[in-house]
Amino acid sequence: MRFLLLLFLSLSFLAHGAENLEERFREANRLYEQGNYPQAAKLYEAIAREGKVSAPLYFNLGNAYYKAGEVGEAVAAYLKANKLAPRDNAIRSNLRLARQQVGESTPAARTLWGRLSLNEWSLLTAALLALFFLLLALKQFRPKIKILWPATIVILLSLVSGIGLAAAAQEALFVKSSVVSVPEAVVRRGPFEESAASFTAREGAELTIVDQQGDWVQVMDSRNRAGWLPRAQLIEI
Amino acid sequence: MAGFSLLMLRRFGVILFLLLAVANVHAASMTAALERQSISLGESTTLRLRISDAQPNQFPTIPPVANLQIQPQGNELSTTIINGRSQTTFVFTYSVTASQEGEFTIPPVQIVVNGQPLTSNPVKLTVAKAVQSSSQQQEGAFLRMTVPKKELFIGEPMIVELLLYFQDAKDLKMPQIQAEGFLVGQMQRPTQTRTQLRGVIYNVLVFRTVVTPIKSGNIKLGPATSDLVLLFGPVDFFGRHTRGSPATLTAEAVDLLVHALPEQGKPESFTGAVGKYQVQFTAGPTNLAAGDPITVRTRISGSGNLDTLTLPEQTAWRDFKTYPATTKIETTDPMGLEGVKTFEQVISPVNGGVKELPGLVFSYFDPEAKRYQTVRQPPLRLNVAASAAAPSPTILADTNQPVADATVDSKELAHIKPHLGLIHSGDGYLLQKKWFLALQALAPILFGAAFVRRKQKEHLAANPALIRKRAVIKTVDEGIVRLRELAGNNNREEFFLLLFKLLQEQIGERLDLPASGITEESIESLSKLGLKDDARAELHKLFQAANQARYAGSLTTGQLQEIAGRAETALRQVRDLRKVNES
Repeated sequence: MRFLLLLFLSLSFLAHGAENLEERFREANRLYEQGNYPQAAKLYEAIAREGKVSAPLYFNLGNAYYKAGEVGEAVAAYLKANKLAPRDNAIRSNLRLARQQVGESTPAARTLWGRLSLNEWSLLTAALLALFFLLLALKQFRPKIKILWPATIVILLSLVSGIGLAAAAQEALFVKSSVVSVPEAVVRRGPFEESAASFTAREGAELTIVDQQGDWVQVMDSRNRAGWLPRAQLIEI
Repeated sequence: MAGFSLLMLRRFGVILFLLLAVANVHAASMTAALERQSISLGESTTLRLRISDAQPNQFPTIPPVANLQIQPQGNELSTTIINGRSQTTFVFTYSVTASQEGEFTIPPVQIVVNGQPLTSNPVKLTVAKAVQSSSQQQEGAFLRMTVPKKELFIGEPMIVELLLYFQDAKDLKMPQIQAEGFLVGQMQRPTQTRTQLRGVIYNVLVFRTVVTPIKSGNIKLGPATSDLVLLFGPVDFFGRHTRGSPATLTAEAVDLLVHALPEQGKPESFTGAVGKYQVQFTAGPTNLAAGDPITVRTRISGSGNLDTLTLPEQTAWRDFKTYPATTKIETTDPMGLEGVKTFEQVISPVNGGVKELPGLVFSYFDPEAKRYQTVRQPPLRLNVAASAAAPSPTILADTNQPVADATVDSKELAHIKPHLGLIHSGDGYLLQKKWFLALQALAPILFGAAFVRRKQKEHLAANPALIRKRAVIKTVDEGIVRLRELAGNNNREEFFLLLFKLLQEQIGERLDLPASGITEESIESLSKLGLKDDARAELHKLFQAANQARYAGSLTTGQLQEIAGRAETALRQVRDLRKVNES
């Protein structure tokens, strides 16, 4: 009885918390509709800082930044939304528009593993592997049941899913992306202010982080030009 | 024939030469520019005369200007090659010094090059009153603030220059201006030049910023201060002074008269814009249904404070539903006072009776003309069809589904989503969570358990002796419990029947003989398995007790319990015997 009461209270608390988030999200949406884009962006950011994020949250944040003229922040928010919901056309459309505004091109075609988020790949691979082992377990209980073809298909699908998972994990966990957040960032040859300039990157440009040293990070752009710039000038995705 | 060809070649050569000459002469140009357009009495500035694509054969003479001394200083030549075409440029420099305050115009310079006259542009020079000699000036550095005018209106932006003069200094800080009653813009990065003042050469850093008065009356702008370290004393190998002394330079405040905007004649559509503007207005589509969106673009170009520029509410647009506008500013000057501000707004006619979009009205105050100006755009004819179920513009979606036309190639920003959707914890992916990884072990563990169980069953099926042994163990254990129950109930007949059965089962299992064939004589065979004499004797007694009790008189419960206890001990001793091939 005590357990049931505890369970009920926990669920009520969770439901209340979720309702509070939804209400604040709607409040931010109202600010956006009124044209108060900077305030709307602040409210979306506040929700995200609590650790509760979703694709619609990042998408709306991107829109608020875009309307407020902060294209770099908008690109970063859209990229985060795209990571959580890679098949959402609205996110991809707005990301494309934001990239166009900063002169960046969108990749011609999505990679196969880019069509699912990393969590979706994880769940798919886990489900297929679990199904495979469950089939094997069923065979132990019912030796006469034929599972050769189903098990073969499932294990092959697991292998494919595993490759997709590995590729998505490599991209999500080991390739650190970032977006320039200042109007013009001077990328230098070394991690010092005195180092000679290598190239400049405009606000909204997407750079890959390859190394870091103190407050400086080494980045590479789509043309494989590399250099260093202060971490504070980037938004890490 | 040869003579004819030679003649043609010569004519061709002449034509080519003339063309080149014409081309060269047409490309020649001359421009004049002052290094600084504003100096103080006693200061000098540099006039540069650039002559491109022409080779003058003498130093150009500047026409005399009263109260200005213009002295030639030198010339230089440079050649550049652009797109394969070379261009030579001669630059003649002159030092310009004024002997009194005022506005001066250096007239155009005229020269003749290769028979072609070249004329430069005129240039203006403003000479302000002399800088007062101060103790700071005597120390080799001073700060001066200049403003283009002393009277302005509220909201009228003005560029203020701060000139930092120094001979040798370091750690120069950005100047700060005390500006109560003004909005001060960001100080631009300074330009550097050199000048001569009372025979002393100074380095000059020129800082510019925009100030906008926000209240009327006689207001002081300033003073301005700047911190630096003055260098003095003996010079080192590189020619720099080796000793330094921190100093704070101060520029005196400037008195300004700020006028309030006149109330008389202020149009209703005035929203505070001060400057000089032109308006361009476009809207479309013009053939639409009630409720359909019209995109209205208003471009306001000119000079003034573009940041604070806002469109007035268009009261004539009462037949339209309007939505907040987005803005974009493009400036054409480094101070941000000239450029274009574009407003983009969506409106929609509320019904099919709307025939036109009333013209946009925008008002501003022109400080030079000292009056309000109102720009009225002509109305725009519309063809609005009535719509029975006129849908409102797709501004707010009802679900989290993507807006119907929001494909990847859409040129419009897809609107925000109304619901928060699936919430993620934001602290990493599933692949990084220990509980998720641990959960993956469940299915293999289940399979492992099922596999082991099957193997056990197969092992048992291939070992009937083992199966019997386990069955007998279970039977005897349960039987002993039942014996005690029967003893407690004093159920003598069943008690001894069960006792007999248990003895048969256990002894038969150990001897690999059918239980039904076990008799008292079988006990002796247990000696081969190592059963001791006293244990065998006990078994005999139990068998005899079981046989005799069927025919003997009654036994008490206590006696039966005692027999049950002895039977348990004896049966366990038999169970513990090892068969010959048993592992």
